[in-house]
Amino acid sequence: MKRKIWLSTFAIIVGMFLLGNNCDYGIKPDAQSLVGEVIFNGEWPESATMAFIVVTHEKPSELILDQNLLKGYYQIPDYDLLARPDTIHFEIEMNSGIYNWVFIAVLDDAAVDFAPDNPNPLGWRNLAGEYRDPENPSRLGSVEIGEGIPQQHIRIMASFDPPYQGVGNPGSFRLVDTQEGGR
Amino acid sequence: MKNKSLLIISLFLVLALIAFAETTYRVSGKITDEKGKGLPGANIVVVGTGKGASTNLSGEFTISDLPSGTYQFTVSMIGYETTSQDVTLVADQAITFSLLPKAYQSQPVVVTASRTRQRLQDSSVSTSVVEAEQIAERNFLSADEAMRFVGGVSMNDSQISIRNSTGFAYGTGSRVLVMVDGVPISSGDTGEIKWDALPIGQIEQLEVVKSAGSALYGSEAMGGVVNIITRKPDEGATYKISSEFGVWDKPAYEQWEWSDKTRTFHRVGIEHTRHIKDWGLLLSLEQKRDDSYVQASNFSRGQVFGKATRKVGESGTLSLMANVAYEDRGTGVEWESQRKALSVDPNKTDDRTWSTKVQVNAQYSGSSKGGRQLWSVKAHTNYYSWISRLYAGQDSEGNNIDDMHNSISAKTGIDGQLTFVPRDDHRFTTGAEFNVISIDANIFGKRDGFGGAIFVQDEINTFNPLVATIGLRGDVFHVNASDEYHGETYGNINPKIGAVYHITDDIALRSNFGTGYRMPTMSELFTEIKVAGILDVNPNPNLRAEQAYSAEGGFSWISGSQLFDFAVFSNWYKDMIEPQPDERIGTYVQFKNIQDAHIYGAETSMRWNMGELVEMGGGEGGILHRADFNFSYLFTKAINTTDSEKQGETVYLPYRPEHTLMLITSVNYWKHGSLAIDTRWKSKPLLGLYDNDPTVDQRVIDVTNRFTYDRWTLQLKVSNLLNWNYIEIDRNIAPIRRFSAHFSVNF
Repeated sequence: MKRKIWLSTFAIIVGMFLLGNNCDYGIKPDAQSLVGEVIFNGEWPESATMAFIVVTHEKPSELILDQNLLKGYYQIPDYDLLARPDTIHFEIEMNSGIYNWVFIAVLDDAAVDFAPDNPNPLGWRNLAGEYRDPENPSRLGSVEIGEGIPQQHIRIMASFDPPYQGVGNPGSFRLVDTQEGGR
Repeated sequence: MKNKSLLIISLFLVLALIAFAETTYRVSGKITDEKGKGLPGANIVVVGTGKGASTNLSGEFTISDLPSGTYQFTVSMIGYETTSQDVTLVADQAITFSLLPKAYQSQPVVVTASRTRQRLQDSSVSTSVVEAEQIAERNFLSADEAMRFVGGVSMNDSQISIRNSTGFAYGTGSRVLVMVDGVPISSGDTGEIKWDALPIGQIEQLEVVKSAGSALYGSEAMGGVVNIITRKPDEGATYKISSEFGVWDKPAYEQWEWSDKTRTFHRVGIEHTRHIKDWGLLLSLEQKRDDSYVQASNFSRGQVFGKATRKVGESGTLSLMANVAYEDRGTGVEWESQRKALSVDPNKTDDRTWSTKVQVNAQYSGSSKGGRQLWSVKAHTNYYSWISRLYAGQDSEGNNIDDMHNSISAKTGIDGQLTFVPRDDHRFTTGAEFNVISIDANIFGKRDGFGGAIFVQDEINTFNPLVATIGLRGDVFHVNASDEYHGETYGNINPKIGAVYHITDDIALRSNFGTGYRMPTMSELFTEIKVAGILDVNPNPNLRAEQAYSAEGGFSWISGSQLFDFAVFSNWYKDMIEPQPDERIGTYVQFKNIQDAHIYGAETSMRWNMGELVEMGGGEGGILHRADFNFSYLFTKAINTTDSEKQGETVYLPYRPEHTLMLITSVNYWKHGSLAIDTRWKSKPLLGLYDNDPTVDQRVIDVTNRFTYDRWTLQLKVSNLLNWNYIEIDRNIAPIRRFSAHFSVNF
C-alpha cells in the first residue's frame, strides 16, 4: 500500500511536469522580419567606418538615446560598406510590435570615441536617413510586425549630399551615461 | 621406443593435471543483508584473478578452481555498501558476507566546510554532498553536468554560481572556489574553472559549501566552495574499460537545422589501478569527441589522470596527482539569429580554440599518536595555455581576416595547515598559504603577482550541545607594476563566527556570519579584446576588490540517509565587479565596480531513502528494492541596490533565476537495474547583454537506465527528454535532446 502511494506521488509529480510543458519547446524561431532597402544619395563620406539600420519603437522625445529603445538592427557588412554602395538590402528579425522610428546611422571613428573632449561625438550628424510615411513623406513612417501580418518591406531614402535633415530632431543629441544608467 | 616416450609424456601430463587439480579449491557461501536474508544478484569478485560470480535467488554463490593462496574477495550490490575480505584457501571453504544497506550508513562526513573532517550536521554552513554512486548512476559526461543537479547551484554555461552569487562573464572572475582534493584549480589569468579538464570518472565525493568561504579559503571563495575529492587507488589490481556513444537529436524546429549529417559524440576510456610495493597507483586515459548540436562548437579532447599514494610511517600519507588535458574546440560565441539559433555567423564557422591544461599537486598529511595533532602540506601548480583564432573582419577584397589571441598562465601555491586538539571539547586550526601567478597573453599583457595568507579557526564544544566556531583570515596579494601599470596591493581580513546547536542526535540548528572579499582577476583588470560584431572588451586597471557580508541560519534533521534541511540566507555585496556594456554602443564592455547588491533567499532540501517502504522481498524475486528522492527548492532575490537607490525601483542582477526546483529520483528494480529520473526547473533570468532577447524557464528532464551484471554495466540515457530549448547565456541555446549508451567492464 505504501509502495503504491509513493509511486503514485512520483508519477503525479513527473506527469505534472510533463503536462506543464504543454508540448511546447521553449524558445522558438522568431517568424517575423522587416526587409527593405536603403537608397543613398550623394557621395559617401571617406571617414565612414560603420553603418547601421536601426529599429526602435519611438523616436525619443527627449534628448537621449537609450540602448533599451533599440529593438533590432542590421550592420552593413564591411565588404558592402567599403564598396560605398548606392543601395543596400537588409533583413532584420523582429518581435511583434509597432515600430515608429527606423533609421540609418553612418559612423566614423570620432563617433565611437567617448572621450569627454572629443569635438565630434556621436550625434544627429550621423543620422543619414529615416523611414518616412510613403503617403506623407514629411512624417516618420510606421511599421507593424506580427503573426498573420505579411512580411513588411520598406524603403529608406538616405542622403549624404545634401546632409540629411531628420524629422523633428529634438535639438542637440545626448547619450545615456553608463555610470548613471548601467544595469 | 617412440611409443614408450609418448607413454611417459602422457603419464607425466596426467600426473601434472592430477597434481594441479589437487591444489584447486572451491569457495561457496551466501551473501545476506544485515538481517541474514539472502541477497539475489549480488556480485562477488576474486580480485586479480578474473574470477567471480553472482548470487542466485537464495543469495548463494560458488566459485571453483582457485589454487591455494590468499585472495581478496570483494562483494557489491546496488543499494548496499561494498565490502572486501581477505581469505586464505587451503581447502574448500564456505564464507558468508553480510552487507549493510546504504540507507543505514552514518551521515556523510565532509572535509571542506571547516578544513577538517566533520559530520555534515556539525557544519555551521550549508553544505551539500554528491556521492560517487549518484554520479555513476547518471553517467555525467563532465563535472559541470553533475553540478547542474546540485541544490543551490546554477551553471551559466561554464560559470558556476552558488545561491546566485555570480552572473556570467565567459568564466572570468568566479566567485566560487573550485578545488580538487583541497587544491584550487582556477586559472591564473581569468580565474575561471576549466570543467572539461576535471576527471569526472575519478570523483569519490563532491562537496559544495554554500556560504562565503573567504574566512577559510580567501578571495576566490567569496560565494562558496566546491571541493572535488578524487578516489584513491584500489587495493587490488583492476582494469576498467568504458566507452560511450551518443547521438544529438534533430532540432525542435526545421529552421534551426544547419547540417544534414547526424551529429554524434563518443568517449572511450581505460583505467588501471594497482599497488606496487608501498605505492597505490591509479592511471586513467580518456578520449572524447563531439560533433555538437550547435555549429562551430565541436571538439575533440584527450585526458590523462594519474594519482599515486603511499603510507609514510604509522599515520602519514603522501599523495601525488597529475591531470593533463588537451582540447581542440570550435568557438561559436553566439547564434547567427533567433531564426538560425543553432548556427553562427557564416564568417565565424572556422573560429577555434586550442588549449592545454595541466594540474599537478603533491600533498602530505599526518597525525600524532592519538590524533591530537593533524598536519598537512599541499603544493600545486595549474598551467593553462590556449590559442584562439577568431574572425576579425574583411579586407577591401572581401577576404576574411582572423585575429589570433593567446594566453599562457601558471598559478603555483603551497599551503600548510595544523589542527591541534588540546581537549575533546576544543579544536584549533591554523595555517598559511603562499601563491604566485604569472601570465603571458596578448589580450592581458605580461603580468605577474604574488600573495599570501594566514588563517586561524577555533571550534569550541565546551557548552555541549552548542558548538561554536570563530575564525579569521588575512590575505594580501600584490599585482606587480609594468610599463603602463602602477602596480597594486590588495588585502583584507575576513572574520567568521558560527554556531551549531544539537537539539537531539538527529536535529540541529545552525547559524553563521562572515565577511568575504574578492580581488579582481588579471583578466578583469587588463583584458583588451575585440570579437567582431559581438564584444569589445577594454581594460580597467583601477578596479577595487569586492566586499561581502554573509549571514545564514538553518535547521537540519539527518537520520541515516534521510535528510531535511532548511536555510535562510542574506548576502550583501559592495563594489561588485560585473561586466558593463556601454549604453552608447551595446558591444563595448568593461569590468567595473558598479554595483552594490543584496542577494537573499531561502533553500530547502529533502532526501528520502525509501528502501524499507517499497521493498517487496528481493529474495522472493521482488521488483523494487529501493527508491531515493532528492528535492531541493531555492528562492533568491538578487537586487542591484545601487540602481534601486537611484531609481526607486527593484533592479535585478542579470543571469540569476529567482526560483529553482530540482527533483532527483532513482529506483532500483529487478536484480540488476536502476532508473534515475532527474528534473530541473528554473525561472527565467534577466539576461545581461541583450535586454530584448527572449528568455524562458529551464525545464529539463534527464532519464538514465542502468543495468549491472557481474562486472558489466550498460547505461542508456536520454538528456533533455522534452527537447526543451532554453538559454543560460545570451544567444546560446543550451544542449538539446541527446541519446547515449554507455558500456563499461571491470576486471
